[in-house]
Amino acid sequence: MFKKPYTLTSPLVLTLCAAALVAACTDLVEPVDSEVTADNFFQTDQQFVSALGDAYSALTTLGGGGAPAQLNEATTDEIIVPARGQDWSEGGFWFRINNHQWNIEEGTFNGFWQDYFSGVNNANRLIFQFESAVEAGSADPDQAATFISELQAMRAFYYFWLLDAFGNVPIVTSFADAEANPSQPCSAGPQCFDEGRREVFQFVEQELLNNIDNLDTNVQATYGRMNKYVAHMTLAKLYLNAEVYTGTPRWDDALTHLNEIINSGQYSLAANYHDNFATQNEGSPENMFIVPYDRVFLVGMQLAMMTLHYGSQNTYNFQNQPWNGWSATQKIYESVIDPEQNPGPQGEVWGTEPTASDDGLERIQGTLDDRLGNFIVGPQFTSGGARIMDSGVFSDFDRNGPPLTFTPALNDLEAVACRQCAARIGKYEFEPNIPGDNLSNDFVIYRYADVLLMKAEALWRQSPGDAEALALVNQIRTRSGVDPFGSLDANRLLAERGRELFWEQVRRQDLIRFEGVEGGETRFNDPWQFKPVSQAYRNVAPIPRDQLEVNTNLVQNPGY
Amino acid sequence: MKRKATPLFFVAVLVVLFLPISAFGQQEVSGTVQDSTDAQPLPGVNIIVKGTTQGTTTDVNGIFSLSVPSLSDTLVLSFVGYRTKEVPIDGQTQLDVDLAQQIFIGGELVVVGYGTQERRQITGAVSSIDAADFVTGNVNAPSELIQGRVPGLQVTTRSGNPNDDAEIRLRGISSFGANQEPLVVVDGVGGANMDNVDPNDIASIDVLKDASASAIYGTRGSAGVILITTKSGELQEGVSVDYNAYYTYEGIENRLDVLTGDEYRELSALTDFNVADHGANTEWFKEITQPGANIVHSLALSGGTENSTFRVSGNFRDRNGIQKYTGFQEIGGRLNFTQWALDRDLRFTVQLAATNKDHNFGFTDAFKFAGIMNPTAPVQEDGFENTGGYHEQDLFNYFNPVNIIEEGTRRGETRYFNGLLRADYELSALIPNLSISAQFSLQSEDEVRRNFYSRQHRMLGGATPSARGSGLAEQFYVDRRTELFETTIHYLGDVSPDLGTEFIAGYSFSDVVDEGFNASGGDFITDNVRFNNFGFAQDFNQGEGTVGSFRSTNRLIGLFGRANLNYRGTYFVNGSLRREGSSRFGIDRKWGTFWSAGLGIEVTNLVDISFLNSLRLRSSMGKTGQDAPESGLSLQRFAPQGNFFVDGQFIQSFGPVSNANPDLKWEEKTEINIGLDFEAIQSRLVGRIDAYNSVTSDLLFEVGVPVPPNLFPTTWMNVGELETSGLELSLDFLALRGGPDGGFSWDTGVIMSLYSDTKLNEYVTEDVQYLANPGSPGLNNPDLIRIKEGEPIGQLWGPEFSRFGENGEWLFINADGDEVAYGDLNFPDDEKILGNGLPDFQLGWTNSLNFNNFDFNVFVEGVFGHQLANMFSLFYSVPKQITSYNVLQEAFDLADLTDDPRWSSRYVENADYLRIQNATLGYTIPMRAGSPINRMRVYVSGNNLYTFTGYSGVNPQVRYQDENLGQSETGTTGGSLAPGIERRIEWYTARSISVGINVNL
Repeated sequence: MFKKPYTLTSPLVLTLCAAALVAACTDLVEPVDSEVTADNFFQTDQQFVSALGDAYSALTTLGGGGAPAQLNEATTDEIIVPARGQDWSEGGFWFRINNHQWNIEEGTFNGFWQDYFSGVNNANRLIFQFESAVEAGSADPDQAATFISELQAMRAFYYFWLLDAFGNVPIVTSFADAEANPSQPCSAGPQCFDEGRREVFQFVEQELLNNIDNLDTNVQATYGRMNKYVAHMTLAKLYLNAEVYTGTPRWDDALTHLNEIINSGQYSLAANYHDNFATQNEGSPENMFIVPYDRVFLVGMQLAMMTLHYGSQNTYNFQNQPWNGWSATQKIYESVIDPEQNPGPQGEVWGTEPTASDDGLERIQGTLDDRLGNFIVGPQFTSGGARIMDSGVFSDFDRNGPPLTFTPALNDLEAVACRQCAARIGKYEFEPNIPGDNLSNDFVIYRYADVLLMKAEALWRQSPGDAEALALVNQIRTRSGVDPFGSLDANRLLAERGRELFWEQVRRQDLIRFEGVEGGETRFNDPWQFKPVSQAYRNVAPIPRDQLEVNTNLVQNPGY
Repeated sequence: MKRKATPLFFVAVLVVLFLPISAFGQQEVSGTVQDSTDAQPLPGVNIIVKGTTQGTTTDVNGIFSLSVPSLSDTLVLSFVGYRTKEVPIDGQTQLDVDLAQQIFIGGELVVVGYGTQERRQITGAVSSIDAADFVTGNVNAPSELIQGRVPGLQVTTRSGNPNDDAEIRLRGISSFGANQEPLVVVDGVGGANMDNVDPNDIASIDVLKDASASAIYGTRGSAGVILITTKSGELQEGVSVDYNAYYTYEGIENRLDVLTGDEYRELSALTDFNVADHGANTEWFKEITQPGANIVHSLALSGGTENSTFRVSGNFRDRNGIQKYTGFQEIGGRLNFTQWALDRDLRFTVQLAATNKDHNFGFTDAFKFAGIMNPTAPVQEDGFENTGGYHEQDLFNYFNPVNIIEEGTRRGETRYFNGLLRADYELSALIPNLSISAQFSLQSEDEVRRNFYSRQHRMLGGATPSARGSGLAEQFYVDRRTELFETTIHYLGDVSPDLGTEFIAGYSFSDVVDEGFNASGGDFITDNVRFNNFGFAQDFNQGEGTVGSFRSTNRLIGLFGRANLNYRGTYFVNGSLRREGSSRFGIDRKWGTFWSAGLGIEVTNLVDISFLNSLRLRSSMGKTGQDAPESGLSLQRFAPQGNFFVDGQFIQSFGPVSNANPDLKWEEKTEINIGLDFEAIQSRLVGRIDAYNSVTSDLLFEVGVPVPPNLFPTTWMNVGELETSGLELSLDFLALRGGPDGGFSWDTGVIMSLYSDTKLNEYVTEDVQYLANPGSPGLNNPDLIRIKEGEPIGQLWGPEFSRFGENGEWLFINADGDEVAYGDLNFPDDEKILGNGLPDFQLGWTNSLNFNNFDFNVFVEGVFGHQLANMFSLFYSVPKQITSYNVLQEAFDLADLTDDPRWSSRYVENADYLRIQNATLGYTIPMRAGSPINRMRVYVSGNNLYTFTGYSGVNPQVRYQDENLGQSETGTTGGSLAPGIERRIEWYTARSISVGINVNL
């Protein structure tokens, strides 16, 4: 019997597909549906501006307890992160950071490297993309040129911090032709570290000088972005620390750029120190460069969580429970209340030692400095006014037992540190009733008060009796209601910077810069409470182990 | 005249069922059937009148006689091991028929990729489990049916969580960045979801274990293949009805043994550690648990006529878990329908399956907090109105577990649909022995999750003792659709009487689309609408609500072929080849080639070994692949990266989320398998032994890359090489054979699997890497796992505990062998390998006893040689913790210890276990002759009856993955590179007793 042919398509498709004659049968082009690729972005002006934003995203780690704060604050004499019982013991990480006994495996160094190099990389990528768009005729060349200058200056900003942290780091300026395993300027080994660091210094200096005149001078429009004055400030900081980085001081160059900022008249001191750190601190005349945090739109400002006690949740009615970690050292607190170090009007202030009193803390006579608000000290209350009870209290040192009291003195760094010990960081206003971990205060990177103190230092370094230097320091002191100094010395300058710029991520730089100045102390390597003497090689961070592993061209810094 | 093909609609199936089988005037036909080669009569040959259900079988002398409607009809003769033959009667009343032996067909048939094969011809490692050998009792998923039944296959049902899926690993771990679970093929549809198959509907499960067996599936075959065959209808008179039902009671098998309120106070007095005594004695675990229950009904109707068969089934499950308010309700249906036409040359198959499952997920976190919540605290207390009346404390990561489950709800629905259309056509009339087939299938899986946390929910709703929170509602939808088109051409024929051949070639095309949508927001004016109206969430007015969506697609295309040769039923050779492309790889790296070759010898055909009925040697080798786990991994992609502040307002900024890697290619596994099958004692003893070695190269993994020049710190790459080997044994012994009228019979089987280390021959870096830390509070350092080239994966790593010092401190042994305090340890120099999370040995022992109408089955499973790091004990066994948390009973033994928790060898425990997994006693009720009920059996069955183990944690089962199971877990998990960690958040395990009934009409 004859069988009808059936209209099954499969044999046909099979035959054709087996021979791969029908393109659809072997088409494996991969579509990207819910993300974009470089090919299908960069079409409109808005997309260009939007893309530019990624040059700044690396800054958003500054407001949290991540790598920048760990390196620039937790290693210094103003901040301590004690292991309160088991909490925060983390296998001794904070102990090693506080005591300068870190090893090259610590994730914090890799975190710092990745944060700041991602800033460099994004700048490189965007420069390449803008240049390509100009070539393709899809972007306005003038607009692109302005953006490219901004990006090159931001790249220099990131390199400034990489220079400060690691010294000798690879300089990568190209996106399209980047080497797979870039080398440092000095790649022969630890012996040429100084030479490599000098080259990075010169790169930062040159990039900023090349671009500074193309940068915007409208400080309102560029709030939170690189503008001309932010570039001047970065140069001033570079020159102020030039002796550390290159062995050659550059005080006059620092002054030149600081004067550019002062003479522009764009900035002035705020009447109230704390206005600069309020929840709504956008209006500050003093803040020059900030991370424009917002608890909804730009998250990462987590100081309340980092520093407050678990029970402090009830003071502010936070929906999330704080972590009871980052604290101020007794030393920095004392530098404010001590009449010797900080002369000024005297009154009753919280002392440092816990007592069995109702308050749980002694009241003593001390200096009334507005900047005492940088610290949260003493008995703690709920929003309703009741004492907060810490039912987990266990140390004899918490003499009052459960009633929560922040006592500036700290009994121990590890293992048996008491839960309520150490003053908390109150620098930024804490907005009550918020959900989530994030605050809306803009995080201050550069501030005009620092411009004045830097200028004072640059003048004083060249002429210790300089009257203008003294006047500038006293201008800062007067604003906080304390007595003017009659003269300056290294300790006073450094201590004043400590009081004024507490929790502004400059302390490590300051301690290193003041090494050996007047009195032979090494400052950063000196012992302080709990911390033993540390070695000089710890003034730069190690090249992170993770980076050494993936890029075999990198060489480790000396000493590590 | 031929009957026309029945329309392919379900309704029509019913019509077919009730077509009257008419008998008109009948004629007698008789004759004999004999073997074509030796002319021996063949008894038991099936003879059927074509187009009817009338038939008979030959007697012992090969003689038959049969009435036929007409002498112009055709007889169809079929017999196992012989070719089916059609004989037109042509008016004769006496017919003598020769049947030819078929070299290929005969013996046990095993489902393999794209077809079936006779057991003796298989050269690779394949295990087959029929319904009769499935695990019984409280079984809710297909994977549980074969737990412990297949050597080399580990099915890990981790907990008492009713909504948990089992983890399945075949021959250990062969991949760590890509998929580790075997490919599931349901009735020929690759990549199917097992969740849409009810265990009651499964006829058999075949597991392809080695590369030679699974290479035909190319890409996705490298973690093995599980082939599920569902039940279908059979030619018969009338409709067969099967009804199965059972009720299960579930209790807690194991939980954390923490202090009671009185013990808590006692420990405080003993140790001088203050506790906050709130005056109550609360057994927190009782507050959050309930007896579980499971009701299951399954009804199936099946039948068939000469040209069509069908089976329809419906299944219903209502399960309540051991945590209050958890469980699921599931309803599913399946239709398998087959229609033959054109003289049975065309076969058309339709399968439809749909399942709807409503979940109540509950909170795994609640088990942890039931363990650590202060036992002197009351559940509820005045003054806690903001947290719904539930007592809460201001301690780190500390929540009242009753508040968690009462003020929050996590619901979900999952809907599965599978449809399969398949046509097979015998081209024999044109080209003998050739057939072609084509199939199209659609699988879809829709998942909806709905979570709501009230303004009184402390953990996720933002409530605190001092103020209510804003509440939170979340919803997400995920939709996954897979379309698969496959066509094959098949030749099965004997080239000569000595040489049988089978060839198959095919083309496969599949498209997968994943889409999702999610929204979450809080700040509710009222809690009443829960997740049902996001309009009530003021977060959306304030820009704080979040909405997201995604879509990803991928495509796989394969061209494949296989050849099987059979020489004199003694030598068997087979080979397969598959060329496969995946859209997920780099632009020029999309295609891969996978192959296998195997040789089998039936030794008993060559040598006379008196005590063996059969002895086969097998050896095979092959290469399989693994697809990339996600789409877009080879491309540089950008996505929103927060916001950017321009001129006083925020605009979205874009940043990289991946690096390009145009070289991303297939992960490949090469496996060698040597096997031996034997039968002895009149085939009452059947054994199989397999030894294998597999090497996975070009492992897919996300690895760190230098940040200049890369934009993103990690890239998916092909890195490293993994090697493992093992030995598998299965023995089945029919120890006692019952008589024809019952009597006592005993069938026992043992499976054993020996696993070597899974060694990382090559890795990203020659240096070591540390992974997976215990978490907060205070143990985010050091890491628990070390990865090093040349070492096995899953090495637990830490300092070696020595003893407790006089001052209540920990003492450890450092690298120099000296006893030191914690502060004097150097990390990682003073650490060492403390154990390994992967097992060495696995045992399964089945026993089936029958006596008259009674049947008794017992199944024992054991896994040995693995260690677990006990995280709950690490955090909550030292007495000092009672200042904040409740602790384990163990704390009384450590009363002199005043130190904090420290990670060390003390928390690495051997987790060997032997478990009475199931015992079932059944009784088949004798039926009166002529009863409408064919068979009725009642049974009682216990699952997870008892576990023998020295492990002190909740569950000694292997943890292949280190993952977060709860919201409050704080440790950094290590994924598949960090097996062997029992985290703090785990469900308690459950034990169950079921009573059930099976009825066949």
